[in-house]
Amino acid sequence: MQITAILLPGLLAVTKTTAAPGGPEPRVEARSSAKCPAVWTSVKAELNQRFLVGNQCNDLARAAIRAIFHDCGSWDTSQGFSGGCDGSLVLGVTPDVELNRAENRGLATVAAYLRDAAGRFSVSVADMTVFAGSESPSAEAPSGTSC
Amino acid sequence: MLTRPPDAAILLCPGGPKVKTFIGRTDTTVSARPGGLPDVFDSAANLAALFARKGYSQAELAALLGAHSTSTQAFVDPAQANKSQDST
Repeated sequence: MQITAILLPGLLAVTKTTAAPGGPEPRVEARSSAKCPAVWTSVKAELNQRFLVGNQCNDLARAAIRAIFHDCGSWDTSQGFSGGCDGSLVLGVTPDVELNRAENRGLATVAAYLRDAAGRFSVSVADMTVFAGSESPSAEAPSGTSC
Repeated sequence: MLTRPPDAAILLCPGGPKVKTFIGRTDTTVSARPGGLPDVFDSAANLAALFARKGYSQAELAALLGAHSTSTQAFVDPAQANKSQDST
């Protein structure tokens, strides 16, 4: 039984990484103890500048909240680990340009910003979209806390 | 791979919640399946079904819709741009 206990997690790990032939690798491991990559501290500092006017968030911040939903919200349970927050709102061109769809009217400005910022900070557009959208409604004063 | 970052937050839209963000997504140039986002004129029944497929309960959907009572629109009806979405 001891062997089983040792082997089982290993087998599960193998199963997970080979479970979706042809599809994206399952990305299910949430490392709650992992340290936030330092780059996000810089991203946050920039967002703080770009999204705030005085004490109020501006239209770019509001658009970022809309953008996270329009990228991620297309997901449903049938898509598993694909779709959703994958940057397609900004980058999707096949089979049609996602940003040009009627429901995405008005998002061109924030999409251009997210694409540009992701490039400058060398992070994925998907992560930048989620980070910006999550940070926008935040309410704490700039704390300097790591991430 | 997902790693956990952002506990901290920025003072942006005052009064908003602090949300933990996970990082590690990969990008794609394949557009999302059409029809995944709600139509602004959708019926309640269609919205309930659409969001059920995303894992939302009806109470969560009601909360999401309720949040829009504090929002404005600019692109669905440009003639009424920047007016509140809640006419009550």
